[in-house]
Parts: sequence; C-alpha cells; structure tokens
Amino acid sequence: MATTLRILTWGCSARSKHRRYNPGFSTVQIGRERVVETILHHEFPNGLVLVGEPMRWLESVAVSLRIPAGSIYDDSDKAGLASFTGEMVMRGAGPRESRTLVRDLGLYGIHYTERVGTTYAKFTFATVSSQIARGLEIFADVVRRPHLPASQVEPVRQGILQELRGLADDPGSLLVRELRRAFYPYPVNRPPIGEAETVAQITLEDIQSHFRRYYQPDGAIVAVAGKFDWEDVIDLVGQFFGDWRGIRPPEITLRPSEVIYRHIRHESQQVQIGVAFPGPPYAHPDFFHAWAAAAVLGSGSSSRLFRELREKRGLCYGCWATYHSGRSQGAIFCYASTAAETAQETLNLLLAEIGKLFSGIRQEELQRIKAGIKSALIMSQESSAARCAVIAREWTLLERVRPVEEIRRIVDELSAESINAFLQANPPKRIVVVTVGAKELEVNSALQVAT
Amino acid sequence: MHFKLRPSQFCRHRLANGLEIIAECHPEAYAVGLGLFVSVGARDEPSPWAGISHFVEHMVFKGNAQFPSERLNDAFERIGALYNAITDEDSTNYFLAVLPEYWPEALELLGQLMQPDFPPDQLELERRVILEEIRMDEDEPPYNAEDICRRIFFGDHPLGNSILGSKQSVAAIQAQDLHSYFQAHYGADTAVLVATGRINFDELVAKAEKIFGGWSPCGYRRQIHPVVPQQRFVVIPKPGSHQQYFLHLAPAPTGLADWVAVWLLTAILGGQEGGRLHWEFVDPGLVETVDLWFEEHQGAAVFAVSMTCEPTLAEENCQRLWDFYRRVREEPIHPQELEWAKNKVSSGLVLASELSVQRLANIGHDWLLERRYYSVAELLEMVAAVSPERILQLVHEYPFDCGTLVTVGPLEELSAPAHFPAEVTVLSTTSGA
Repeated sequence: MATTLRILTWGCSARSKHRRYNPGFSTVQIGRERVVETILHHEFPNGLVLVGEPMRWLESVAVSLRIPAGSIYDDSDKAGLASFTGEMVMRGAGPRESRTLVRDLGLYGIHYTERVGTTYAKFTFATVSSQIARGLEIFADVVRRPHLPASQVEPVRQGILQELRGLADDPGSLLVRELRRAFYPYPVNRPPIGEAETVAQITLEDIQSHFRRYYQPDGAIVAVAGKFDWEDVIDLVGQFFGDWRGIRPPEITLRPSEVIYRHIRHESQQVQIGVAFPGPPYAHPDFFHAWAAAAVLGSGSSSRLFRELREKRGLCYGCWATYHSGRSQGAIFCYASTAAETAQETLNLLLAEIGKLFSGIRQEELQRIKAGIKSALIMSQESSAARCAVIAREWTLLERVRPVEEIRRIVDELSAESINAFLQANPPKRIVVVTVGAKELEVNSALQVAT
Repeated sequence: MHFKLRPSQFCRHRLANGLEIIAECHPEAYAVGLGLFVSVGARDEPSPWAGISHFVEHMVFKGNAQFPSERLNDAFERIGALYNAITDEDSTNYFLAVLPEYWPEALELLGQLMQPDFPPDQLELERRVILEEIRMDEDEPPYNAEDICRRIFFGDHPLGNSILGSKQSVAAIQAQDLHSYFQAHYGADTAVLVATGRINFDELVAKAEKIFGGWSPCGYRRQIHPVVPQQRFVVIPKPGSHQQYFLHLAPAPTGLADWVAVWLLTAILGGQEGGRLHWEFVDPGLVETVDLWFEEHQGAAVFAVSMTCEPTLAEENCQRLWDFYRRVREEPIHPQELEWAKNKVSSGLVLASELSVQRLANIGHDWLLERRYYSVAELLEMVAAVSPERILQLVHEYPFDCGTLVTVGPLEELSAPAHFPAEVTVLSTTSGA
C-alpha cells in the first residue's frame, strides 16, 4: 500500500493507492523537442513493417512486436482463444523450453510483457541497448516457433479462470469491462480474456489452429525506440523475421451495440459510474478537437469533472474522462465512483457536464491542455518505452508515424473556436451508461439533459 | 553484463534554518523532478487523529488566501506540471515533473503548498472526498486486508497505524487539529527538498533560500521504538467475494550495509516471472497472483507476501506457501539464479535511471530513511558484489515462516498451516479491525 519499497525497479508501479489524484504521472503521447530525429521506416517483402525512433541520449531500448491476432478473431463459443494462445506461446519456443526461456530473458536483463488486445497480440520488451539482438531472437521464436505444449493447456486455463474470478471481485475493473461491452460494436466489445464458459471449451487444437492462422507477418509491426543502430536493427529483424510467411486476416464485420443503460449488481458501498459517448477515430481530421474537448472535461485537477464533482461537492475521490482512440471509432469514457446515496446526484451532474461540454469550451481551458501536452511530449524523451508505444500505435492506427512537427503544428493550431465549431456540429449521437454497485440508477431524464 | 550510464552529479546543501537540499543533476535530461519529502506519516499520529497526515496532505492543496485551490491547480497546470502527493507510514511527499524552464515557478508553488490555511468550508468537502477514498479501499480487493494485517503484525507499534484512518476518526478531525498537526510536524528540519534532471544546483539553492529561508524548524523528532512482531493467523469472512485473498507479513532486516542483497532475495523468490514463487504457484495455475516484496521503514522492515486464489484451493495453497518458506532454507541459491536476478535488477536500475521523476522518488526515499545518497553506479556495484552465500545467510537469519497471516474471502473458516506458530482467529468484519 505505501511506497516503502526500497527502490522501484522499472516496470513496477508504486504500490500506494493513497495518491491525491488518480491519473498520477500519465504516460506521454507524442513528440520531441530539443533533438529532432527522423522516424525511420522499413517494409519487408512479407508485409512486416519496422518503424524506429533513435534516442541517442538514452542507454535503453524498447521494442514492441504487434501481430494482428487479437480477440476480434475469436469464434463466439471460443471467446478468449487469442488470449489463451498469447499465454501459451510464452511457454517454450525455439530451442528453449518454458523455464529456460524465462531464465534467459532475465539473464539478458530483458523486462517484458505479453498482452492480447482486441486487434493485436502485443509482445513488448525493454532492456539495455546491447541486448536488443537477444530480445529479438527470443521473441522471434515465441511468435514463430512456440512449442504449445499439451501439458501447459490446463495450467494456463486455470490461471485464466482465476483471473476471471478476480475480475468479478473488483468493481472498478468490472465497470470498465462492462462499459466496453455495452458501448462498442460486436466483436470489438468482447473482453479479450473471454468468459469462464468459453475458456472452458478451448482445446489444444483450437490454440494450434489460431496460431497457424493468425501468427504471421502481413500487417504485423516491430517498433523500436531508444539507443540502437538502424542498419543493425534492419539486419536483425530481417534475419529473425524475413522468411516468415502468411496471409493477413480479413476485415471483421462489426455489429453495433444498442445498449443505453446497464446495471451490474455488486455488493459494495460505492456505485461505480461509467459513461461513454462516441468521437472521431484516430485518423480523422477532427480527432484532436474531440480529444482536447475530452481533456477539458476530465483530465487533471482543473478539469470540469474534477472541479464540479470533487472540488465543489466532495462527491468522489476518483473522477475523470479519457479518450479511447480506435481505428474505426473513437470514444470518450467518463468515470466516477461514489457512495450509493450520492450516486444518482453524481450521475446527473456527470451527464449535465457532458451536455455543457457541447455548448463550448473556453480559451483558458484550452491553454491549460496545450501546456500539458507540450510538457508530456517533451518529457516522453526520457522514456524509450513510452516512445515505442506511441510509434507502434501511430503505425497501427494510421499506417504511418507522423513527424513530431506535424503533431506540434496541429496542437498549436487548435483554438477554442475550432473546437467549439466541432462540438456544436457533432453532439453525441449516443450516450451509454453502466453502473456497478448495490443501487440501480435512473438514467432517462438525466440523459435528456446531456443530449 | 556491462551497464552504461548517463553522466550525473550529486549536490547537497543545507540552508541556515536546517532545510536540506539534495539534487542529482543530469545536464542532458528533458525534465526536472522536484519534491518536498516531509518526515511525517501515519506512524506519527496519536490514535484519535488516525488519518490526519493523509488529511493534511489533501488539505495542503486547498492552499491559502493568496493561492486558493483553484488558483493553485491552474498555476500547476499552466506550466504543464505533472504533480501529485503521497502519504505513507513514514512520510508525506509532494512531487512534480516539469520542463526545465519552469522549475522556478514550480518551486514557488511548492512553497505555497507549505503555507496552507485549512479553510473550514473546504475542510468539509475534502472530508467527504476522503470518506469516499476509504469506501473505495474497502470495496476493492483485498478489502482492507493490508491495514488489518499491519495493525495485527505491529501490535501496539505505531507502524500499524492506518494511513487513511477510519471513517470515525476522519469524521472527527477539525480544522484546528489540522493546523496544530501541521505546525508541529512540518518544518525546515523535517523536510528535504529533492531535485533531479536538468537543473543548475546553485540556482536551485538561491531560489530555495528565497522561498524556504524563512521556514522555521518545527522541532519534531520521531521516537523510534522496537517492533515486537505478532504471530497470528486471522480469517475474515467476506461473503459474496469470489476469490480468497492472503496477506502475510514477516520481519525483515533493516540497516544493512549490503541491503541490495535483500532486494536480490525478493527477486529470486518473488512472484514475478522467473521467481521461485512464480514457478511454484502461478505457472501451474494454482493462484491468480502471488507477490513478494520488501518494505523498509525507519527502524523496522518487513517482508510482505500477497496471494490470491480460488477458495477451493485456499487451504492447500496456504500450506504450500508455508512449506515453500521452510524449503527456502534448505535449497541452495544457485549461482545462475543469482546471476539472473542481478542482471534483471541491474537493467531495471539503468532503465529507471533515465526517468527524472523515478529517480526523484528513489533518492528522496533513501535520504529520508538513511540521510544517504546512492548513485545508480554505486547501486550497480552493490548488486554485483552480493554472493549466493550472503542470500542464504539472510534466509536463515530472517525465516519467512512466522509473523502475521491474514486471509479475506468467502471462506468462513480455514486451518492454519501445519507448524504455524499461533492459533487461528476469526474476525467478523473487514472495516476497521
């Protein structure tokens, strides 16, 4: 609970929950300042794309390998298969069985994560720059030559089932999961981890078949940020991934959700309130308008939600709004948690603030947002991992990585007038409410205020 | 493995009023981290005021007549500062990261934070916020088990105090209490100003002299009493929850010259991938999570282990954990196992050293605890020097199979592991203990 850990190593978050503000030190989005470097880019004949951002002032390097093998490809009766496969590929690959693989990653000082999202299976690592070849070699084995041992299927399944039970205990995680499910179209809205009933059905043959079909290079990306030699990296990636073959999976047809309000009953003192409404996708020309408006609504301690719900009324400890940028759709997710007796008041106020947002923002609110972005952009230069995540995301959502100057210009040119023109022309077409707690709320009249 | 580091310089100065200023200056950094680390926390609270350190931390951001909260927040955000504060048992820390050109303004704002008025109307609102924070803590797994486990393990010792306090104690605290607590514990002699990143130390000292030079010492000196760890096994039923949650505290060494050995020990045994607990529990799917860490306080330290699992496996896993602890003493530390931990920890140190704000937290923590600065280069050398025999010696001197073990979940009863040195107690509620 308290940060009395002697030293927080990289990758370990502070344990304390008693921060004054929930957002804490958020990761940085985009940008560079003093050293202007080129974004490097190389495409291999098999469709694999390599993007890189050299950061010569660092000694670290971060790599993200993203393969279009996410949960949207799962059959409905096998939901969770992509996630299951992601766990299985780490359990022995190439010349290394499971334990040797993990041991060697540690011996090479490699810190890593494996996570399967809706679109991509993501393998990310960071280490000192001299170890990049070792990391690429091991993760090439993981995604190309996993053993997928039959003996590991049950242990992995049990781990996933335990995680699902744990999720059911945590009201905050439950809210986010159910808000996604209520808001996004099918199958994007499904939790990648799956459901207990579908995870129970998954067989080794399913895993092998998912692996054979989806672990392939066309549409996959390797993003590298930090200290590296670009020519060496091209050679290494060519050596480890150049002869990889496969066909990009087809586009998935989406089926819109029609949910307006969903309540999940949960024995807790607080009611968790989640509200979502649509915004433009990442590549859309209006993206930055909507994104800045969302920040005015709920980012930081001068934001409207923080002031109205927490500072003026003391209704919440945590309240925020955040932009979820997607390839085909964006969304603004808002959150607040409060005692059952103040939940209705909090929901009404939250929805009223959404309504007011579409009446416009003030110039000084925008100035605050711009200062925050500028700061975050420049400070991101200290973290190879943060930059790596940004360039990987830019590529997967735009199929290019925008030069920093382009981003800086877009942000500089944002004005309250242009944002307000966008807001007035684009009132929310749909607002979705999800609550988790002991008390169901009344949403209809409050929704009318917001729209 | 060989580890390269960016150049850095450590600087230190003490103002006439006793305020210490320390900095790790990196001319090539992109940010400046600034923090005021104050040596007051939950352990310094008299019992009717449980939670007052944390309450003060919240109220400090309400500012004063000249800088009320709205103006403070605006001022922080206008310079793009990422800022926050944290309260724990030993300290209350106010910290931020800004672009290098804005550090003087940021320092002035930190100066304003140290002159709070505790306005009564704001007090009532913030009390509600903290009560919501307490509710949130009680609703989330492991449902306050950490507070309960600490209170039991530390017995009468103030390290068992809850950081948030209870709903009752928070409801009773008045503006005058906050005033007197602040005056008694916040001063030039209990705070240290810490900076990291691209900052000129002479300029920092000159500016700090202007802002903090008139800050009086408060004269507070914490009394350090020895901890008498309590041996207890406590079951707290939480009907309706799906998983069974365990938290275990055991005594750990403090004040070691080679304390990184403890750190390596936790990496070798820990629940993160590659650690022994991971292979024992996570890899075979027996638990949802298991974790082991080391917490150091002034004058005391603990090993903490958390484990979450399906209730049907709880008793078996609990016994398995106890057997694991006993086995640790019998199994040698393999040289390759130690090399694995050293490389992992060392590369983690290099990665963390690149982030100004991460260094700020580490340097401030070490200074408050020991009045000592460890450079990353020095830490790397300390890591390299640890032998397998030293790790094994630690395990023998500080066995894990003792202390306090608390479990919260749907089970109404659970047997203590064989050889557990105490009786089982069943508590009826997760709030307050």
